[in-house]
Amino acid sequence: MDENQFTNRCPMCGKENAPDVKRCTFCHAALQAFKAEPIPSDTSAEDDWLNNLRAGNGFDNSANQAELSEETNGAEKLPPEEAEDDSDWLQRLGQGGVENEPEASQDANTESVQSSGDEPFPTWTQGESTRDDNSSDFLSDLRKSTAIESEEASSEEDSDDWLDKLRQPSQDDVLTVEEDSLQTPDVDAIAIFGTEEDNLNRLDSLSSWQSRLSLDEQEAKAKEDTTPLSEPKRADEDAGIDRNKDDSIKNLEKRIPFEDTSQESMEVPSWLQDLQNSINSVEPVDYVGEQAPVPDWMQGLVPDEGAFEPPIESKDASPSDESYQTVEDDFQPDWLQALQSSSGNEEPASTLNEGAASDLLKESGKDVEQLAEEIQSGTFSHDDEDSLSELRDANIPELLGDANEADQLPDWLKDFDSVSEAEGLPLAGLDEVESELEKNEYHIDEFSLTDSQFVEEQTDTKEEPLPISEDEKEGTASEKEEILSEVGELDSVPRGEILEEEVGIPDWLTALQPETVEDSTKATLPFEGGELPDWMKPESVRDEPEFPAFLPDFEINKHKTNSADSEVMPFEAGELPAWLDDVSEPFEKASSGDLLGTHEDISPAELPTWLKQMKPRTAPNQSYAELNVFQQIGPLAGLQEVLPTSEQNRTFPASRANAGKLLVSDDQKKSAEIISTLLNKMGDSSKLSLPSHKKKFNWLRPAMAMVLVLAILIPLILGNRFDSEPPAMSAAATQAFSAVQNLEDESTVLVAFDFEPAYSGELSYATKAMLQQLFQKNARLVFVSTNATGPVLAESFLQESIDDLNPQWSTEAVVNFNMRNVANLGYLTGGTASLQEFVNNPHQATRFGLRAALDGVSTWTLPALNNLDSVDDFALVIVLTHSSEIGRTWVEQVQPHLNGNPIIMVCSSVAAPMLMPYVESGQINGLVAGINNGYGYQALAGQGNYYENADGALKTSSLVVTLFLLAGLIFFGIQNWRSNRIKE
Amino acid sequence: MAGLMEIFWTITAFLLTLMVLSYLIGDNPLFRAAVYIFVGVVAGYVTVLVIYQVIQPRIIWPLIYGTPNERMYALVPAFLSVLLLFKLSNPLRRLGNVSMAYIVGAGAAIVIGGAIYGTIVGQGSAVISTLQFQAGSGYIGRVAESILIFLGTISSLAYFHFGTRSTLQNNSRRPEFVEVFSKVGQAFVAITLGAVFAGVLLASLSALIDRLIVIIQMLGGWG
Repeated sequence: MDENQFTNRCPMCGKENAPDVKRCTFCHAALQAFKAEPIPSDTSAEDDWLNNLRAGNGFDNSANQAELSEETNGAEKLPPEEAEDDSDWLQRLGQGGVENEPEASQDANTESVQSSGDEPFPTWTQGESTRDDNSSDFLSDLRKSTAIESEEASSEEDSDDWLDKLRQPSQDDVLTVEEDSLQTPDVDAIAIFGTEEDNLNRLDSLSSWQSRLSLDEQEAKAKEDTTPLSEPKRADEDAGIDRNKDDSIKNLEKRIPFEDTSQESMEVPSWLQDLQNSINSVEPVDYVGEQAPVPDWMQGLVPDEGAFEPPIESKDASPSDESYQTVEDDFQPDWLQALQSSSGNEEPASTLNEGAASDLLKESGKDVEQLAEEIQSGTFSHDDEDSLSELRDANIPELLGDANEADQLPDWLKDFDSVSEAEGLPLAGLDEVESELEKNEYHIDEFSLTDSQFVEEQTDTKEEPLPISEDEKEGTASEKEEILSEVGELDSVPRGEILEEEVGIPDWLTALQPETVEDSTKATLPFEGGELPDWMKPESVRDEPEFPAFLPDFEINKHKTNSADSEVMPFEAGELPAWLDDVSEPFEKASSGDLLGTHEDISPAELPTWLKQMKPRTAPNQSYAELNVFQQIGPLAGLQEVLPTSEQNRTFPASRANAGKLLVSDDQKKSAEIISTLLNKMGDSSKLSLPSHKKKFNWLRPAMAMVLVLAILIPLILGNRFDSEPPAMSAAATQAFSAVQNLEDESTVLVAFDFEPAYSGELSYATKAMLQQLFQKNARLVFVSTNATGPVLAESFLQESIDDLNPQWSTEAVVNFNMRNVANLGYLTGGTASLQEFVNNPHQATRFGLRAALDGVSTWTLPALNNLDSVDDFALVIVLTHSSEIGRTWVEQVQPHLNGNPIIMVCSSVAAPMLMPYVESGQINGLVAGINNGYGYQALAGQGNYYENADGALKTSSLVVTLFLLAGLIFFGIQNWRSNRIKE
Repeated sequence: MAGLMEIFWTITAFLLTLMVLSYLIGDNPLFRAAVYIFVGVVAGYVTVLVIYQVIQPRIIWPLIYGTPNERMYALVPAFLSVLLLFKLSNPLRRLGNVSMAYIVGAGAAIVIGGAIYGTIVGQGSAVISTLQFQAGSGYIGRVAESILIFLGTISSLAYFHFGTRSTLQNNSRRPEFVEVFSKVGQAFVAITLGAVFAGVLLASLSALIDRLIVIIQMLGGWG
């Protein structure tokens, strides 16, 4: 290998360019001349720095353990000035990468600005870029360059850079060890990282891992190996890195890509140290643990248990640290664990001696730039110079170069070393960086420390990956698997711990931090899809972790025991960050509001008034078991907690109460009040008592009735003192009396009883008087009726008339009189038609008289019916009726067939007006209408006893009724007049 | 014995009268009881009367004891009566229409014949007879009365005439002279109905007086 060989290799794409070109011809990234110094073959030098390192010179655990642990775990203890300083150097890194090439960095900034407009960055990144262009430009530049490189990497199968060759052996090993468990990496995980960019990220993450590893080793020594195998994968916690955080890492790699590698021997894991010792024939360190039976090829690769010690010691050596191992093992798939185990072998080759650098910076309390200025100005302190000398002594490239000569190295590591020798990269770069440190007197430790913190900070923001082009997704399988192995390392970093280390965040990230945390809790922490990561799941749910084949059995058993005994949560309760407290609650019970943090923004007591009023008020929801409610009815009666019953207490809010306070105008309020008033009135109306079914007693009717009764009783009892004269009879009544009076003796008279019993009182006076008049004429009386009650009334009136006429008559005399002079033909069924039949054939119509049915005597054999064949055989027809219709029927049906024989009628006052025309026309020969004519007929015939009093009662009562009618007419007339006036 | 029966029936009549008059204070059980008694007694009486006065002598006896002619003559009303019983059954009620048609048809024919010959001819003849120009007193009065009767008759008929002719204006109004006569006839009808109402009122008062006389006689007899 040519010494002093300068290769103008692009730090981004790794391709060589012309020496005088400042920009990569492939990816247009700012170029930096790398001096590929030959790896020194002097092992003594390597031994010196390694021995110094192990002896604790400069990085002695006993001397610096406290400071290192503070810097590593509690970055918040750093003063703000240091955080700002960190951001400053990070900004410088982002601006140009190499400070001795300001033009290139300026160009890079310009291009990054341009590229930022081309690629869609996450919102937070864009917003931050607007706030802090200095810090975001380099990120954009890196993204752009990475995208270009990824395209080239996907198009070119022959990956000639050292990173591809570095990747390849590890992949082969993985395939060899875990061939069955090897799985295709997730597309999303692939999308997070690019190809070339991922290499840098991987290196950076490994460097941070190694920085922690160095601290862990120091603390582990301090604790006298209390937890030798408890946290072997603490570096995996850095796997939460994404594209965004990779930007800073890439810049860091650009700045000192191989300087960390030169320092890695200071923090090399124990197994690697053992490997180095075996290669260089150096005595292994005393902390090498028990040698487990491993495959042959792993004899030198897995020297002891120290390889599984946690790379970073937590804040305190709490028992929860043991759970890290469990969680990380569970979190990683099998292939990833195997890959990590293999990648862990190469971690020392890529990681930097960040712990040492950070110690230097920590001791100095200054950042790199300040230190550089002090060095240049000659004010650099003696302690710092000691640290630089120690760094100088830590010549890892020499160590690795010697190790390449050893036979214990695996093939892939040999290949890796051969490639490094052939191309002078990357190990040659370590010397270059070292030399640069000597020149510029930089403290690499500062970079390392800041880098690790930065990676941890950026881990939390990995939830918003940048859109990945198809070319980026088309990486080779080996690249993806290797990258994923590193992702597993980074993802295993507890996020809460990362967030707590806010002091080490650059300015732009510090300003971004609260938003980032909030965004992460809102958008990404609920673990979209409802799938919890394995480390969040209960242990019973998680799959049984798979262990590498080379892991000893007792370690596996110990791991299982720890997994069973310890809680799976990666943090202790006291260590949980604020945002993770919400997430770490029982996830099933966490509401979306809790996950989104809305309960912190708006507490229930801060609900707006309108929202409170709209909130439905329900009774406390008690279970039926608490209420001790049993089903009362149905087939489920007696059972508890079955169906909702009427006992369920539900309160429904009133609609008005939920109306809320709206913005209404005064008019609208007035309208609402009117409506409310109306509704209240309607409610009052429902309370009104319904009218009782019993009608209100109308005293007017009985009062009028009593007045009328008194008007009748007084004349009946006291007599008619006002008018003692008999009532005047009408001409028709007088004609009727004359018609009867003019009958010959023993004439046959047809008497038709066609009135209802109700009218007997009105018609009885004239009827009795007329019958008695006929009795006196010894007339033969034939009774007939078209009304069913007529025959009975005829018998009754006959008996009363006989009794009134001849009260001294015996019963026998009466019967004889009746048998001789009276014939009751009975009821003529069929109304008008029966009269027509009777007129045409009296025998046929009245074949069976009333007595024939009762006494069995043939009617037409009676003496009263002798010589009667037709209607005109009757000397007189007397019709006693209450109805004008019946009277008219008799006139229409019978009167024309009487051959001039008279027909008289005794009718009620109701029928009189309708029958008077027939009287006027001569169709009716006499009409005795109403009680007045009855009283007159009775008086004219010399019959009756109460006619005077009855006539007086009728007049008095008629007067009272007339007064009533007039009073009612006046009253209702006035009422109608007033109502009409009101209407008008 | 007869005296006791008379006293019993007198007391019964008195109590039933008081029960009916109790309606002055409103509907009450006494009034309803009296009404139900009257209705029941009348229904029973009519049933017995119809059986003994109509069905037995007019249908049963002729069919049993009658001559063949009488039997044949009795079959017609018997058959129509049986058909009339089908009116009680919905499916067979149409069979009763034959009897109903006979009853309505015969009754209408009898009524129309009697109305023509008894009322129209009789009343027309009577009005014409009043217009006979006979010398004597009251001639002008009778002529005026005849004119009034004629006017009343024509106007009353016009009042109940509702026939109209369709016009272009679709104004369904009777002819003008009919409208005039209808107004006159309305007055005649109103006077007639008033007279009828007065007769009803007098008939009611007569019935009340008759019942109060019965009560007074009853109380006077006890006193």
